[in-house]
Amino acid sequence: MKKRLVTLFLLGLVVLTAACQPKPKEKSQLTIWYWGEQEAPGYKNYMESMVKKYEEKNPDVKVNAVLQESDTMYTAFRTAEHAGAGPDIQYLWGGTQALEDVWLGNCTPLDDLIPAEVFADIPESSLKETNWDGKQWGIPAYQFAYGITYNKEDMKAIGVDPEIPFTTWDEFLDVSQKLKDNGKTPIGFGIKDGWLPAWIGIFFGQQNLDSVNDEIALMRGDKSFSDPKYNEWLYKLEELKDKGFINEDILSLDFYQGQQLLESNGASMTLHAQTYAASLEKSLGKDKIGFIKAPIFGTGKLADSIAVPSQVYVIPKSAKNKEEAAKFLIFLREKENMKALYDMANAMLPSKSFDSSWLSTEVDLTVANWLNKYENFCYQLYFAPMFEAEGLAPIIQKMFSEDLSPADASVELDEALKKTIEQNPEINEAFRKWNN
Amino acid sequence: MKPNQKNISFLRIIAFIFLVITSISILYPLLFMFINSLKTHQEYVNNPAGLPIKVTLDNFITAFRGKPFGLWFANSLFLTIAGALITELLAFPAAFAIAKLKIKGGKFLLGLTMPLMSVPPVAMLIPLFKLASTFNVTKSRGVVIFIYVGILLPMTIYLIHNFIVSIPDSLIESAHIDGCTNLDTLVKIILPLTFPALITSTLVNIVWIWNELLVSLVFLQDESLRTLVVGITLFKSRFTLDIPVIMAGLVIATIPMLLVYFFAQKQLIGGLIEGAIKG
Amino acid sequence: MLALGKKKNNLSRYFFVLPAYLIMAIVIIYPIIFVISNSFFTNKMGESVFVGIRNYRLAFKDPLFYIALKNNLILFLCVPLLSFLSLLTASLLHAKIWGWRIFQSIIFIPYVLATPVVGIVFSYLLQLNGVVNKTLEAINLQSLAKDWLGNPQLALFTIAGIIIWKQLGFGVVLFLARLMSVDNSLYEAATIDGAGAIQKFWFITIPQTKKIIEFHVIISLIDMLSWVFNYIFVMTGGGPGNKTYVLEFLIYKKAFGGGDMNIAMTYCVVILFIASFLITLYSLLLRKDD
Repeated sequence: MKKRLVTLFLLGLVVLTAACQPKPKEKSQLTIWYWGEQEAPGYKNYMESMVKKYEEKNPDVKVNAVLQESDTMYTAFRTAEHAGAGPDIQYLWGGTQALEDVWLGNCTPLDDLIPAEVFADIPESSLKETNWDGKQWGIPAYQFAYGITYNKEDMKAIGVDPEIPFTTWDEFLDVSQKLKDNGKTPIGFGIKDGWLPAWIGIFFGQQNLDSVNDEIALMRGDKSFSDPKYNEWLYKLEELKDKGFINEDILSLDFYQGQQLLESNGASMTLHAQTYAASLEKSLGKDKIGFIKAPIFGTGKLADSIAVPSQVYVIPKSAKNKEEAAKFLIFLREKENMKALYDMANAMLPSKSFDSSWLSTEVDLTVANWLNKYENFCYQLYFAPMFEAEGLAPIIQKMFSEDLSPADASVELDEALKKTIEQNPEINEAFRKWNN
Repeated sequence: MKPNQKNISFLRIIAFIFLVITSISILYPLLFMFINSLKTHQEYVNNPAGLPIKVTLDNFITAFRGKPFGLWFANSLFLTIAGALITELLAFPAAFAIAKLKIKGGKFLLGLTMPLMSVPPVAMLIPLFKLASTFNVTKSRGVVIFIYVGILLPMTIYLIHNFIVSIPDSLIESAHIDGCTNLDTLVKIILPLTFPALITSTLVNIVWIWNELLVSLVFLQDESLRTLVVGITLFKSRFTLDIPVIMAGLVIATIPMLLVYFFAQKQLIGGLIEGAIKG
Repeated sequence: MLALGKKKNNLSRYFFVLPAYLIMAIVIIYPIIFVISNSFFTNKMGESVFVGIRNYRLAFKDPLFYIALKNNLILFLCVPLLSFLSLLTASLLHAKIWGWRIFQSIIFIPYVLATPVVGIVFSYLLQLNGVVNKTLEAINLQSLAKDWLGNPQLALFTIAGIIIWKQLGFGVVLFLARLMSVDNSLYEAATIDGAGAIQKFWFITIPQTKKIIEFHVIISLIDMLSWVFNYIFVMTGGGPGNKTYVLEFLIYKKAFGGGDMNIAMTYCVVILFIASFLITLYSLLLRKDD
């Protein structure tokens, strides 16, 4: 009888362990957790074709590339890394968002894994975004410019030049007013999920700054948001809101839903990444979709700067197969793969050997033109750790949900900044070191 | 007597109206989901509330094409069946031993179930993830099943125990006198009598696992391991423009549980009452 | 022979409980111990460093914590409403209102639906330009059309309403079962004494279902503490302006959204503390009843 009992118990155990047992490995495994389809439609196809090509070239390697979701990419990576079970290659958003994981001890420096001549092909400004403590931690996956996408037909209808509808803030207000008078919602935004505030910051936050040091001084808590230099953009945002230029259901829409108002003719303008704008141009036509820089109101040296950050790949500390990971990353930089990235996902690899004759859309040509003319600066890249999630996002939300005034918002932003610095002292130490 | 009667029938009409309104408020969101999964996007924009003029199944095709819905479905099914069965397999003997075998500390063990039920899963996640990683089994369905079993056991033991307690001791004693071991008693005497309770708790657990979000969200990150509920939750952000496609995804995730409900309504509701009331 | 068999049984019966309780120990008890002890440490470049009560100091200083705590308490305050509605609906069904069986089946449906499904559907229905508001406008009730999930004063109550929508069926079934076992002569006697429906509800139904009410209240309180993550995650993500944070969501954000995992552990300790308080309260109530 006891026998039967033991059998029953064992049976249960067997079921459990059988389910737990990882399958035996034959090939060398390379796991990649990536993102990008959301802002560069086609990136998934590109990645899958790269994987296929790589596997054909290296028959002993099995590549497992997993597309992550915006809401869970960082969660997934950090939990896995916390437990020492991360992928071999991880995609991260550029700037402090990537360096935070470096400071958490989640990444391996790439200097010993990737030869210097590979780095020599990458523009200095792109490398700088993830260079810390004398080491290179990330390698760019692709870059894109931020811009305002607008409906050219709506512009024509109000008698505005559809190619360059505005350059200054006053012109922007004027255009918005005309659009509104014409029965259109000028700007389509969705703020419910909290991505939008940092985007707005990228377009307007830097306009009174002279250099990156101005922002770093702020993020360290040495300066205050109450200084008009730092909060004028909040007043501009309030102006747009009060004049009724923003869709009234901003609070019940997610970020992507707000953007998609442009495609569904629910709004005439919205903020987009270059990659997505180019894909819209391809699907809706260049007579309909235009891409333009942020209107200028500021007086800082960075007032007319453009934001062209790059997203990066890192090799996590827990990666089992670091050499293979590095090999794959180098493989992505081969010239024909660079072209494949552009053809399939409208995304440009930051590279000195990128051939500008490949460019096929108006949007990309416009951006190429900007890159020659304006300084490249991205406001979001220098946020203090956790500042976006716990400070900027909810506080800008409150400007819409509770009519929080820009002055009060500035006070709250200072407090939030103080809190994030206090709660993450170790990371913040690293943050200071990076910027010295 | 007469005015009173009138009064009562008046109250009954009010009550009826109240129930009708409650039922509509419950059915409408479901209806909204079903009818919109059958519309084109354009029709949804023009007429989100009403019935579709032209029924289309394209949304389901798009949903299946955009994401591995079939795979997610299979994942959910596997986790649900394995989790629910193993929970039952372990909870049944435990509940029996606590209720009828007079084991030492039985009362304590039973008393433990209620506090264990109240521990929020979010608090268990980090430690369990660390534990799983020391055994290098983070991305495994087995671990997730193990966790589901652990979370569901307290409630299941509690429900089954309440049922077994009401079985007269004399039945078990006479079985013992006939030479039955405890295991024999469990299988031959208790099992047939407790069957309804087992079915109920299995159904409750099936519903719970199928709908679980947090544990599978954190543990099963690979797209190939994802469950249907996690899949549709994240899927939302990709098709935000095409709402009928989202609705189609939701319908796919919901139909299995509605089927379970309609075919096993009696056991589900009846047993739930039974277990809770006696407790 | 008999004695030997008995001894065997003596030992073997512990095998009946062992596997189940072993798993519960690993899945539930171990994390509790881990969380409590780790709340006194921090992570410095991959190493654990003892920091005493620093995490608690930082955690209790964070305004988000108080928002979350307050919101959990508000959700607690919705529990009596949930219990009352459940009991009321159950007694209407018990009174065999025409079609009560169909109503019962319908009211239980939300119980089997996945919270994310419910959350997503309601997010669309309740958008500012969603069906609910459009319907209100169509029947000339524009003043009632609100940004249900976008308005900071309203969002949490909207969520509470959706939780009630989903949980009502469970309570109804629970109470209905109890009512069916109440001696009908009580109601008949009351009718003869000339009691109206409301008096009967007040003087018979409520006292007769007291134990179930207690059970339902405690189960629902635990739900509002430990099982509301899904609603928040899917419908508001804590917004607008952090107004819908609850403790569970705060823990998730702190633990998995970057930042210090150990601060999340201190919040875990807080939530465990509240849960054990509720359980103690319930067992005291039970003892009093006995």
